[in-house]
Amino acid sequence: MLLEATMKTPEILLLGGPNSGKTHFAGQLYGRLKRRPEKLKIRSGDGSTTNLTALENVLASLEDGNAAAHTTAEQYEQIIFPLIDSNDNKLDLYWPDYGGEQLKQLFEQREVPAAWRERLVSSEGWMLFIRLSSETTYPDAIAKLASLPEERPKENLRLDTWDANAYWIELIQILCSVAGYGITAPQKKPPLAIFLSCYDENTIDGKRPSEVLKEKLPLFYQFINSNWLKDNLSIWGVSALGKTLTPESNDDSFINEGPEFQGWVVEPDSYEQNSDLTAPISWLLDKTL
Amino acid sequence: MSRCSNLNCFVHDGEQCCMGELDHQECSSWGDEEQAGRTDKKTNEKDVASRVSWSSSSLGSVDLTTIYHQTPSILIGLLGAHNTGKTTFLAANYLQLVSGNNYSSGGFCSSFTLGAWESISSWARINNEKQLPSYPPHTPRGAERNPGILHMSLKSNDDKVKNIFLTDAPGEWFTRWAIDSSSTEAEGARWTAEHSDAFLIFADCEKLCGEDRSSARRELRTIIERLGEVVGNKSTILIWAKSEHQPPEGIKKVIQRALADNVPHAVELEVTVKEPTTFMNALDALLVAAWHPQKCKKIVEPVIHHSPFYAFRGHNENT
Repeated sequence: MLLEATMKTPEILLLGGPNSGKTHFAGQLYGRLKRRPEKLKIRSGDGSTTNLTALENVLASLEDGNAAAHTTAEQYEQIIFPLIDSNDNKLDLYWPDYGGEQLKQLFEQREVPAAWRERLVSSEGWMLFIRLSSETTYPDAIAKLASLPEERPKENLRLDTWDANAYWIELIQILCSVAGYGITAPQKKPPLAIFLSCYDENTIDGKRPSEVLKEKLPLFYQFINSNWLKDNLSIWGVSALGKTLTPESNDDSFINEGPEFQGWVVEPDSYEQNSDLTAPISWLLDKTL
Repeated sequence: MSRCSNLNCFVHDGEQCCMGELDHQECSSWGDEEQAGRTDKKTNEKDVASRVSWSSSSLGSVDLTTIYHQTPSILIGLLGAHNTGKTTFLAANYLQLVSGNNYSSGGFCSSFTLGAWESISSWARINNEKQLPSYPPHTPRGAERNPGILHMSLKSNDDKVKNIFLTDAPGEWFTRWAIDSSSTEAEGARWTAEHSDAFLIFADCEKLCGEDRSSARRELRTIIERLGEVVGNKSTILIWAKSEHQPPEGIKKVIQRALADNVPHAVELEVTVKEPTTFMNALDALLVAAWHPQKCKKIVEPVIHHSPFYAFRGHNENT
């Protein structure tokens, strides 16, 4: 009786740019919860019907061994996962599905639309998807200046894309500021799980996910550590598919074994691959409960 | 029940009208119509997109006045003639931060001027194949009254946040200021000298050993002398920039003597692009010195007369 009354519906905010692997992760998460549950599984039989068509389509593509279609830029949908954990706690997980361009626009226009502000304020946990292999960073050439001819540039041919360190810092600064958390005060901020997505694309031998992030984006790593409480921050390596699929790859292992046996995560303090894709979600849910 | 439409007025809770009207019904903010307007406003506000208070470009003096007092802050003035390496010093420090190095006083925790940092340091990066890396271009000389200011916040081990502001001003300002501090072109330099909490003076080693060394020496010496008038006990470092070049001993001695006479507490450090960490170490040294604000000087009562009788200070002393 009490359980019904105290059922939690944690709202989790998903932050990730275009092509950062959000949709594949959601599809695989759905497949895991449905067909190969571990700590969390889909709750059924209590009348909680939900529309998971969007994810069914993703899962269907994966079952054929192909990559799923790109989520359109304007789309923003909430998918509800009715869940039950190993202690019989019932919860409804609100999973947002949207085109990652929205996050990029937010950075470029330096403006947070009202709907996004509402989500930022009401969400109890943040998930940040960063695909390290597609982040732009520029090598430092200060030490080379001594040997180069000293010539002042006449015209500017420099790319004006920011270094990824600065991009992510500015984006998080804007989000924290609009959500009313302040930038440098760690106390009130929601728990943050950083998903280093498509983790199989990095060289990760003998390194923890946090070390991989620190190596690629040192200043951003410093920023996150300065501004989040240690207990409220965790960095995961996530490979939702375990390999790269294309829309026509027809991958055999996906077809033969099924997508629920593909993909893995690396836990924050570990070097090992773990097939439980729901582990980072469980961490976040534990923090919000 | 009627309410006041002024958000800061609580007259409807039995308090006084905040605009000072004795009869609050005469106040223009009072009334039912206003109340309707207010709820409309509220719903509108909810639909409006939110913006943030900084633009990521370098800060002006108005931005500085709002941020400077929110958190303990240190404004560092970079002084030096044209082309002495002030902007390169800033870019090199940012690039060191980006590659994961930290100051001993505290770790990086935010910046309101990331766009400005990115644009000055993009020159010294391998950015594309079309253009080789180079020193940052000359800071344009404008008629502004204050320099562009770059910002970063550092958080110390005991979680104290400090704002660090660094000025990026064209060198011509300081040359002008050194000769005539009241000139209109020196307005920005005057502002920098007056408001900074700590100073970096740039000596261009390359120029000090080249053909123009006499004019370089003159410029630098006049800047040191001018700073001596306003520096008080504020932390100061003389930066021997481009130290891969060695100026003649004589010139170095002249500069050091001028420094000892005018800014006796200043320290000297060398920086060179050959060792990028030297830039970070130099700023680190200044941050360590300026991290805790200087204590006020003790008030010493002047001895007017050597007799105990005169030591008495009655309250009518000045009448």
